[in-house]
Amino acid sequence: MENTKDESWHPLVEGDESRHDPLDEVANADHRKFLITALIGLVVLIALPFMVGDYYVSLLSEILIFGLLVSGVNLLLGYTGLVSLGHASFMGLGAYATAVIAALLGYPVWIAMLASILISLLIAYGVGLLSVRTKGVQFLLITLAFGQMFHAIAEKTRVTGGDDGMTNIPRIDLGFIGLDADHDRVFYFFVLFCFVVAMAILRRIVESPFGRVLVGIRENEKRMLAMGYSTFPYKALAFGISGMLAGLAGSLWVQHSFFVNPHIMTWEMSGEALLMVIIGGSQSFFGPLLGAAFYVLAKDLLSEITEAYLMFFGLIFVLVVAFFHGGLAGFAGKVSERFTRGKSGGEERQ
Amino acid sequence: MTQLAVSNISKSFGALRVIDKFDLELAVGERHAVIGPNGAGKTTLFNMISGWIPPDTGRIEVEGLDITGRSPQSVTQAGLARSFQKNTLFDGLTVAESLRLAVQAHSPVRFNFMQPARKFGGLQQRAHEIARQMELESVFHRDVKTLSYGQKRQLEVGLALACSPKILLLDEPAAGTSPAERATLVRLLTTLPDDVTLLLVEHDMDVVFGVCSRITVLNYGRVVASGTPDEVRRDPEVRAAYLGESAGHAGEAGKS
Repeated sequence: MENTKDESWHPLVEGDESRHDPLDEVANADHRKFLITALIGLVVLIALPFMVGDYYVSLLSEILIFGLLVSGVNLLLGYTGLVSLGHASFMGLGAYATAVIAALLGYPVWIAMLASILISLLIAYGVGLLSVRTKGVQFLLITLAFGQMFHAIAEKTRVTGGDDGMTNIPRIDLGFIGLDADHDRVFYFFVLFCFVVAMAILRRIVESPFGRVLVGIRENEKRMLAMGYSTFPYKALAFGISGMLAGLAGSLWVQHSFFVNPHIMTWEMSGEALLMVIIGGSQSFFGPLLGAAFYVLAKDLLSEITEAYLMFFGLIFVLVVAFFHGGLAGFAGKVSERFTRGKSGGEERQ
Repeated sequence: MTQLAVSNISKSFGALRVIDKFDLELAVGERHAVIGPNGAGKTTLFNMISGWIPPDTGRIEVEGLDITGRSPQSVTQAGLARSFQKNTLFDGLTVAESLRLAVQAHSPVRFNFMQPARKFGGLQQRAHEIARQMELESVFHRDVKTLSYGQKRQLEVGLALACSPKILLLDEPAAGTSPAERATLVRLLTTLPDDVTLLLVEHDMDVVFGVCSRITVLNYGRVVASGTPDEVRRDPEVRAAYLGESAGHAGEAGKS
């Protein structure tokens, strides 16, 4: 599935020279809207840590880390139409890989991070090859089974502390630019850097011909087959990429919290990731991020008031699904449309 | 020159023989219809030719290339695209996005995952061409789910046509349409490019006689008759089995 080098000769891509094809004004307008939204978001994410206390900086890091996880989940759920209940295990895989390579084996954290990303990509791709042949409930159950399997392995492995997990996991060494990542604000900016790079790549992927195929599979896989697409390798690779994002999230998570235990691999965690995606709005690029922010902040607020925060969270979930079509992102889209009175169908699609 | 050669294919579901030793040869650019009463095996025949069901016996060739038992996607890549009797569309996408996907399936960029698809203007151009051909230009940027039923049937054909097929298999393109929508479809089907070979399954005789130059009549999985519309219309067995009292009506349509 490489970038084919010989694509320029093909008659169907000749129009490539007209970089701004007037016919595709819809996609171009969508892209401009995306750039503006992304820029505003980035300014906010850079400014916020200077305006809030240490505690909230730590929460912001958490939001970004969960944002990576749920963006990965959304590549499957929102774009490809596959509901996975096993993605926490890829987050756990990335987390344990970093913990073992950095804390146990003593390699530099950046090597551990790269290895974690690669390991989670390969293992998720393998799981994808075995699971994307199914869909619907069967797919959900297979991913759940894989998740439970990885969780059980993590609980039983002695070297990683079994159920207790591991502590004293180092953060990345930013000494080469004169910074100390143990400082939460510095670490936040490192997370932000990883986040921006990963999201930029993810955006490229969903906007590419490959990404459009995923959306086609979500909308009607039978038709995709009839039009000549072998959908299987697309789905398997989408699964791998989404697992890789979860793995990166896990690798950052252990550095953020300095410890790891099997709890981050539970199926409840996978379920909460799905909740974040749906609350924020699947089928939209930024929706899941809103969901992650909402989840982390609501959990923080509610757990101060009551231990039964999940009950209230469930209630909010029901309300959002019932009344906000397209989640928080859909709601935000409608509000901004009301203000700008823009053209029809302003909802961000695909 | 033979474009599609189907020889001696059979299919049974349990004890029921749905298709019995079916033969068909289509020349390049031929417009051929398969008609027959409900349960004659037309859809099964289509599913076998397009790769959705493997035949029990026999052989299917596209330009001499054996495609028997291949998967639907591989059959389509070999140059044989089909439409569906029941709308099988991308309800959440626009007409433009749907057609672009179909065009992209036959372009080497389909595996590209690092460059924005909107920069491949050629895909969009071709999608727009198909939309114009199928008279869907005015709804090019509309969501598929907001189209009228007739427009959806036009898109159903358009998605198959956008695959740039050598052979186009249309499964009851006029199913469920109003007389006006049917007239539009007949007009569109008669203006298909000459080098595209057309195989049509259809109940509506206006469409069959309006579009096709050769007809095969199927009943209980067997070929009852095959030939030009006139020959078929005169065939006594066909009149008994299928056309019934609609023969007179169909005759009028055939003259127009």
